[in-house]
Amino acid sequence: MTCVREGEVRAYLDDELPLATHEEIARHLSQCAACRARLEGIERTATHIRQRLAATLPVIEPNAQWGLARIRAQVQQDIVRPNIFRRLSMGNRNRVWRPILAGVVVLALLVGAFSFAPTRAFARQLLSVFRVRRFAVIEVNPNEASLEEVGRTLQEKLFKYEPQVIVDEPVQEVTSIEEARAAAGFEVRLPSYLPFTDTVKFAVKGRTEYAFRFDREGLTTLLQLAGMDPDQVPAGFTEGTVNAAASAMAYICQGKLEIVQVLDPVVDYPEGIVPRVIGEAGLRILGVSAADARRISESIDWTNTLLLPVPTNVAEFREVSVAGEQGVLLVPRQAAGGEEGAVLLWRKGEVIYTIAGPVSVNVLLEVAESMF
Amino acid sequence: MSDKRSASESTQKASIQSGHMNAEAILLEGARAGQEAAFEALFEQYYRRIYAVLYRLVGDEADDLAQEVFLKLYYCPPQRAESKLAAWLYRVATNLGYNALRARKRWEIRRDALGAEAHGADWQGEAPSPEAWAERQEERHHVRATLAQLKKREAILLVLRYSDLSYRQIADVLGVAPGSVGTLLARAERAFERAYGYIAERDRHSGGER
Repeated sequence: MTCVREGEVRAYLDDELPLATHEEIARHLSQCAACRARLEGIERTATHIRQRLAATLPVIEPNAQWGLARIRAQVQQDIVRPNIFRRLSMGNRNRVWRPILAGVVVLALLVGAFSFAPTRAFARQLLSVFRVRRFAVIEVNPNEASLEEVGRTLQEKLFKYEPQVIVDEPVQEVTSIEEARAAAGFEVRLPSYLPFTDTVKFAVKGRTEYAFRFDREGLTTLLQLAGMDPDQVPAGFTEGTVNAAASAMAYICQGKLEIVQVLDPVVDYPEGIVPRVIGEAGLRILGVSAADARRISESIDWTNTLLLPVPTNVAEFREVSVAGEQGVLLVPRQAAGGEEGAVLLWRKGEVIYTIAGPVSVNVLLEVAESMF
Repeated sequence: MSDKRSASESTQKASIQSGHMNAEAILLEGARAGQEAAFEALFEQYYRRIYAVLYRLVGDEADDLAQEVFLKLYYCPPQRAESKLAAWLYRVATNLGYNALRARKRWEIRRDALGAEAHGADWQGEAPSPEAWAERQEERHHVRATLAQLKKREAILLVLRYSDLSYRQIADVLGVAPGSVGTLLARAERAFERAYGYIAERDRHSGGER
């Protein structure tokens, strides 16, 4: 037998060779000093590494029950949060997107909230609530490496306070559309066309209200990161709270097709905040050029438009018409496991609708149309 | 030499070769259809192993990342064709873990460069023997810094091998032929030794004693 290759020696050490090969190599080793020396070298290295890696073993056993409880809690929360962003970020394997997309959601809410024409002070009482009437999607092409750090900094400075739960009525599973309507207190829509054969499930959640707290440092950091003048945070501003609330939500699913209907989501804005500037900063952070960020932030009607920045490598989007309303269709580029899928988002009356599922765009639109 | 192999590996190996996969396929099917009990059974079966592999890469952040892995299983379970659930879970976990480790490394380098003393948290905890604890701490830091320097596949391969996965299982996770694992492993080990030596040396020179 000729001398043994390195890979074979390594596999021999781990006893990972077929018996015949193993014995053949054992015989060769007994006759070949060079190969024996090689074996010893490889074994020494392996022993070192095993010892070193032992330092990284968990010190305490993880608590599986606790882990499971956390998952359940998360799933419960997701049921009531249109999980469009979760879907998008799950499809994308890069972990970086998780906190950023979460941040983007809050930012999008903020942008709307902060930008309430404060000049019209007389209308403040009336206008102090942001109602989503329109969606606007813009494509952004951020630099992931720098966003990673920006994301961390924003987590530390801008989103440093835990969102405070003001009202959080429990999720309730119900068995029929009638029960869902009764529990939700609004006309929950059931599509007459559903693509799968699975049983349809219903869940309903009552009022949900969260408060997000922001302070001067957070907003200053945001502007600095965006390369903007931090003095645009008004001199008197020290701290403010954004309240986001939804009166009721209904969740319908069939297999992996999920429909979320949210009644009248509103956002209260904090006083004394610069309008439009926050939006401009957010856009610049997401890779929009300074000139474009200014142009977009000035042209959007922030009083009723929810801006969804979609990274070009995460999803494609297009505007569609659903039941006579303008809606947005997002198609993740890297759907998990290469499976087909899309998310559709629109508003009609006082309700925001989201449908997401592993089906073609046409099927999704058909389901949406069949709801009215 | 087979005595080197841990008991856990032999059981894992045996379970894959026996009819275990069928039971698992049924559970996976159940989880896909939204049956909570099926999901829980899979969770119970894999959580500790996935956590342990993540812990090797990222330490305490393993909690969060393990949750992410299983949320992914919950929302986007692997397709039917991909029948080997263990390989899928390890792949998702090690990808997340390695990426997090890389991200953290850059962050730490920056933090150190800024001279901030954010190391306090690392040294807290109930350490009865400060010297031994510090030594282990140091070793752990070096090992993770070394893994972060390696190519993704090499780092993952080492973590999996020293978590006592068989070559067959490793090959499934990495998507390579089982016959090539020995070669890849020997190469990865050499790369580790080289990088480890460099990192330990660098730390000795630059403020190893704080």
